[in-house]
Amino acid sequence: MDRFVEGGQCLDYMWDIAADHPAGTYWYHPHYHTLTNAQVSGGAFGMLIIDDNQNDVNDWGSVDNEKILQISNTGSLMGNGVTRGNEIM
Amino acid sequence: MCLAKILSIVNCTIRSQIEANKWYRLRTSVVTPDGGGGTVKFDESCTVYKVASDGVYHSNFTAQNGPSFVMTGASRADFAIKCTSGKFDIKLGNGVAAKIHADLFGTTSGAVSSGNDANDLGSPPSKPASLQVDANVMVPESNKKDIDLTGGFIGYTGSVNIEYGQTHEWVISQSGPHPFHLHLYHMLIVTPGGCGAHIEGEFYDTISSTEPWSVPCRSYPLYLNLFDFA
Repeated sequence: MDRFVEGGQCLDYMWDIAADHPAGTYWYHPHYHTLTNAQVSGGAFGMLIIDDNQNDVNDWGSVDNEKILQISNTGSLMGNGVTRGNEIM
Repeated sequence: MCLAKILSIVNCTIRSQIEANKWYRLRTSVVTPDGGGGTVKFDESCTVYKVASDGVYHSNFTAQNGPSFVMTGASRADFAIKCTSGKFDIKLGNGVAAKIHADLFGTTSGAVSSGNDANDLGSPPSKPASLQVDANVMVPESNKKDIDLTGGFIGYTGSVNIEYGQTHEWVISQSGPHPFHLHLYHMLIVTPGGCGAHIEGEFYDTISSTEPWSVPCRSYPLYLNLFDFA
């Protein structure tokens, strides 16, 4: 099944996440073969986090002590001199 | 909530301020579409453990310590990190990926370092049922495959049918700049001693089995077991 979105437009995705879905740090990206690299290089990706059951982690791993860092070199691949900084949030 | 933690922007790099000598969880994702991946390197002033790979907790939080960690161009890692006071870089290869400013300020909490890292971090929670597997399970010869991705994944035309509940053991080689992955499904590394950046007995959903940073995979076949592939 393919869904299409025009450049500059938005598309909503909705999933039902099962209650027993494993927690973890994941990522999302488009996967239309032969265009994947171009689309990801254009910034179509991001981190996807399924939080832990807070009873399962010590204080250090709680949401309050969490930082997020997405590292990419996609800016250097755009060929237009644009570079994109990495961020800790 | 997370945006409130951003305190300053320096030279277009957003700098994160943290409390010195306190443990934090740093969720990290590396995306390098050119396939290189590379080594994420922390400053020596920080104590860093990789506690999860590709979303799955390691079996022991303090088994893999830094300061350097090799990651594919599509890997994720959860790090437990604490730093002494100061300003430090996080690098990918030779480039600065981010900056940390660790300062002695604010209130402390139970996450402050006690000097015993293993006690501070505790034990990982139980793995989900789908990942509670026996690495020594007997794999039928018919379920053993050699997958050589020389020439790129698009050129690979092999197909494998897997029934739900079956265990397969695959040897992955030459996955090249496009690391091997199955989408959604994690794989247990069973190569004795691990393979490249991948640790024996841990789960990954993205595996690289070729140069430049997994050279041993050429001579040490990379085995993996698949579970709940449905």
